[in-house]
Amino acid sequence: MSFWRIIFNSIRQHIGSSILAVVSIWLGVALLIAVFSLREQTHKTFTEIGTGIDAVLGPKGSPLQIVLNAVYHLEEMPGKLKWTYMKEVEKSPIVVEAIPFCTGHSYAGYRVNAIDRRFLTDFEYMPGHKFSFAEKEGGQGRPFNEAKEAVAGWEVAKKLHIKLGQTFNPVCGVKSGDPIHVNDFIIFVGILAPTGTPHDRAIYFPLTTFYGLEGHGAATAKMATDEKYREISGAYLKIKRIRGGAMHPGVQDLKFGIDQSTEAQLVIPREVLPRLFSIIGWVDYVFIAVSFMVLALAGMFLFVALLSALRQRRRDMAIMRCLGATRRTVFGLVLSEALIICIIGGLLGLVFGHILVGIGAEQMKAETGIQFSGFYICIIDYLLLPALFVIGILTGLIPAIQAYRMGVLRNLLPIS
Amino acid sequence: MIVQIKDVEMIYETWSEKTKVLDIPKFEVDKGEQVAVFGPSGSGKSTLLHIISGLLLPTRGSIEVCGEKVHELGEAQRDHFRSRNIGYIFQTFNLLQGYTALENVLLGMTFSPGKADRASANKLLEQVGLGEKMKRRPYQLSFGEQQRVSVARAVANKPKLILADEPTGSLDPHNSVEIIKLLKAICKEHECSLVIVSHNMDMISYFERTVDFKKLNRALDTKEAVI
Amino acid sequence: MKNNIAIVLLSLAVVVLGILLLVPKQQNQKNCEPEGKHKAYHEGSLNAITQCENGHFEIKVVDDSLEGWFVGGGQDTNRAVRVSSDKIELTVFLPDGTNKELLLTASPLNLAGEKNGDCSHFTAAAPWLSDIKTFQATGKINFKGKWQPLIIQYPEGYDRD
Repeated sequence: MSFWRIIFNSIRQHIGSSILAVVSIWLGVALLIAVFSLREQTHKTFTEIGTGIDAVLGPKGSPLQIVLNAVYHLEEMPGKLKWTYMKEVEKSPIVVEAIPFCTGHSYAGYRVNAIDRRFLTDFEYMPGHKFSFAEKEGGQGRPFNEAKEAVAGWEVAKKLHIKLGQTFNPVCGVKSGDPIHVNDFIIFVGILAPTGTPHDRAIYFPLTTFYGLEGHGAATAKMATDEKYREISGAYLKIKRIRGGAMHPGVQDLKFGIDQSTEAQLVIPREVLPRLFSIIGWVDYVFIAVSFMVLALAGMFLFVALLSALRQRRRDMAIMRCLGATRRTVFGLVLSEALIICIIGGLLGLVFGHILVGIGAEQMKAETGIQFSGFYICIIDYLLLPALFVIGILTGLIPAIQAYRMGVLRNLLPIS
Repeated sequence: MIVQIKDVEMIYETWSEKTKVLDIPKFEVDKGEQVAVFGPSGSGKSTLLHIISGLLLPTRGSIEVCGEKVHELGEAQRDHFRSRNIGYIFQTFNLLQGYTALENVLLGMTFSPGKADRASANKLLEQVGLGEKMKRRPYQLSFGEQQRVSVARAVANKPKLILADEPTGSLDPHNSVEIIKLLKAICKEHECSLVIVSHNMDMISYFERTVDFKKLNRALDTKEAVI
Repeated sequence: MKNNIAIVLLSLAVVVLGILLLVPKQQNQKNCEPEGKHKAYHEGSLNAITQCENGHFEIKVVDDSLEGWFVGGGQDTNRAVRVSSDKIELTVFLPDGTNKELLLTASPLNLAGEKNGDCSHFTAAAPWLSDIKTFQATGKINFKGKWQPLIIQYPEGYDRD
């Protein structure tokens, strides 16, 4: 009979508490994996998305609000910006191009943004990646050309079952109950191939369409034709690159100059995002703390279960000692039992944690447009096995020492 | 000689007193011999077996078993010695309740050198008449059947010496006889020596050599029992 | 009793381990400068105008060009402060003991809506600037409606406090 067989027999003998210990470790590990995986992916994805947009020219107000609106299609812009000011900024030698946009409309809960056509044809939403309408990549149709045309992000099209040629009436606002432009029918002429970014969750139409929507008033309508009066929500700026692909250092001087004006500011998303993470970071830490506590409780449960099992198995241990097992052997049996339970629970937790992330990924994508993956390998995946060993040893050590120190004769039943 | 005991004393000490339990000037068992040691309950017969098997160290004296000076071995060495050379049978069987009969016999082989041999364990159980009940657990066997498993376990590691401590103490007369006969036959077949201790004179009569423990153990002389 | 103590110690050890892994190194994202030292926005050297809380003149020399920005006092070194001068005369004291005159001219930040006479940014160029690594300079400036001495120590910056 092998050493492992003895251990599994032992586990079988107190199967109830063994299963509970496995399950509690399983849950603790699954929670840790899920929390760390989602956290790391969130940071990574948010940062990557942010790198696609070098800078956002926006009105005065909260830089974080500007990033959330311009990059992630959340929140609202804190004000408006003059078109002429954007044109002045565009003249800067380090600005490659400026793509103006207007936000503030929606359809079926998704943001509808008016934007320059170059956004769909020239703009890199992430380094090296431009929008595509190619069917083989999951897109359809073409960019808008005429005023009353629009293109939908992939996620929007999928959720709303949008077909090319279908029309919609944009809502003047982003909250429920906001008025609808009932007489303005915008036709879908394109569906963007999936990008894995929040742009999948938005609808885009031309700036001229925005200004010409019924109900915006004559002053707004005039903006379509007269640049002097035209206002925008903001503009995406593409900054020149220097060697190594880094942004031109002059962007800081540009930012300084713009920030001193009374009407605009330049926001660099990668500088603002760490602040976003520091704001929501405490939520992460609460989840992580809870996960560690669950794991700690699981460890304690296993410890108590092993101690209790040992008390019941004193006689068995004494018999094994009679049969020739050394103190070291019984020590090893008890410690190995703890390790095996930890490892089984941990491996199940690893699988389950990734499944949880996969399930959660669908929900997160629906809410934020950001793609998560259940196959993402986070730091806990690397640390799991060593950590399980440590936990197994910590929980099994005292029962193992007790088994080691146990006297043989006094634990056998009394005889003649 | 398979067992040679010389001037062995076993003294138990507590806070208030010392008690001499064993005082044996000489005790020997030949290879292949089957010896029955008889004496009253509580006379120290079990202690004698514990010392021979290495479970206890005597306070003084020398014990040579199977060619090894057991009193000079460290604890782990005595454990190894026991796994290779000794088979033990207890009054209350001491089978592991969570294991089947077969697994209990296999356990007897586990701690000795060499792989636990399932085929040999099967054969042993058949030999003791439990070929059909290998997969049963102790609570599913009668007392007599449990003791048979214990006998099979004791010879599983091919020991040179079997120590049986009141093996019939929990059995009825019929089963007691059966067990004694089985034990003697198995020891003869596997060429191992046997030392059996008992207070049951009916069982003792089955053995050619018997030893009166009252004469063997000078500590039973009341003057020397308590120091 | 011993077992209960062991349980408590064990759980404490695991929780402490968890907390140690959790707590990140505190990053000061804004300003990693030692306390009391303000951050120069353009990575030049900050020279307090009379005193640090009043305002600063940030100076940066690259090759033969000098740029200067009038900025706020204290931590407000990223806020421009406009001055009415369109020229600033500096007397530069070189390490070899000689003096040179340097004329800074207004270079308005158009995007900030600045113009000559209402400007925070000044520039100058001189061939000898590319030959020196360190200098001191003095001048005068009408800063926040008051004429004040301008004392420059490059590259270490000036703060009489």
